[in-house]
Amino acid sequence: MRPSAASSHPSFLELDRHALGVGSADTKAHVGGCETCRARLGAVEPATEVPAWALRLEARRPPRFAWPTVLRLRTVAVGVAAFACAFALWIATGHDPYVGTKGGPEVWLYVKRGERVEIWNGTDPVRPGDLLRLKVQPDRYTHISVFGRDKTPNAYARLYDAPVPPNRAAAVPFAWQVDAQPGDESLLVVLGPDAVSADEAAAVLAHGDGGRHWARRLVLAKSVPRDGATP
Amino acid sequence: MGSPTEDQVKEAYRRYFPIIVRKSGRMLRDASEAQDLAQETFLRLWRSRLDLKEAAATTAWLYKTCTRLALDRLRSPVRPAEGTAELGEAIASPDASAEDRSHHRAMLDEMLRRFPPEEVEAAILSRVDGLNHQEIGEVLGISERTVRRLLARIDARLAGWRARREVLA
Repeated sequence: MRPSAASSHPSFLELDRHALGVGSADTKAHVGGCETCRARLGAVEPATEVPAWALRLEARRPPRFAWPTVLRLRTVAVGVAAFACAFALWIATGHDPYVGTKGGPEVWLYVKRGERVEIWNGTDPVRPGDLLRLKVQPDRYTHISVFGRDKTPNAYARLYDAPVPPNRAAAVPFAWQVDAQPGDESLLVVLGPDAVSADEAAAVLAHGDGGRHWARRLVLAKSVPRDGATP
Repeated sequence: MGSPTEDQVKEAYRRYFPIIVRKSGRMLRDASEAQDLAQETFLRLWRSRLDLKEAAATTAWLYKTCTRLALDRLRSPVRPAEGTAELGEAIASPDASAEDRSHHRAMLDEMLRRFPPEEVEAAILSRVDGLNHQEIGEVLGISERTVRRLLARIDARLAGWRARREVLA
């Protein structure tokens, strides 16, 4: 019953996800033809009776992030193509190089190129295929809005919008992939007590609003290799 | 129909508790210990601020939390000895069958006492739950390269442990 790391069977994690309806197509195909895995799935007895200790639990606090739908992100025609890859890019928590400063929010941009993840230094160009992920220390603010450059000049389109826990660094649960379109990439991060529109975000960036919101724009030069060149 | 909270509890329990029980059972062979561990893990899940509709993220969180809680229990000085030998065997030599139980229990004790916890966590996820490097990285929030390094290190430590034991024998 115990798979080894080199087993040709999906892991128990993948089988559990399959049982919950979020396994991969490969797993679905494998399980269809594998008695061993079907037996493993069948060994998970459904919970019929909910015990008293569980029924006594108090109401949950709301989730930390309201995950935006993939569909919504796909509709945003911006220089960076958004897609859900909560698993494709992660930050090595044990090696967080951040040294904090007192007072005020902070934004970090992680760039994953192949197997390598680095914090963007503010100047290095990104390349098509790079994955970008934001992490913020929101200070006293409780909401984050992220915008990307729209096709319309000087306009922004919303990429992400969710509550954030104040005074605690948190990563945005999405990564964006840099496309091959020419031109710089631009991300506008706005923190505040609530969501803002793209126009309001641009106004906060340009003029401020007395500290009610905080805005930071990241402009990333893009290095597009010539045809046939390896990025 | 119960209250909204009760309905949410029931849904979460039916969805995730069987998975937690199985995961607990793979690490702690004592059924009542495994049931206690599953209950503790579910309570942590309920108190977390995870979006339980996100099954992939929730299962990754469950694997991490359940593994760590199991190791906490195994490190406890009052833990039962029964059922721990299998976990040591699974981590150290998943294909071995003839070695004695006391040897594997001693090996697990050594791992829990002296090995870095992240190495033991990675080894459990790999050798007990069958996760590949990418999945372990996702669960523990580390890169695949770090996963490979952790597993290589624990293998080297175990090889050293076996060599010392053979010398002593």
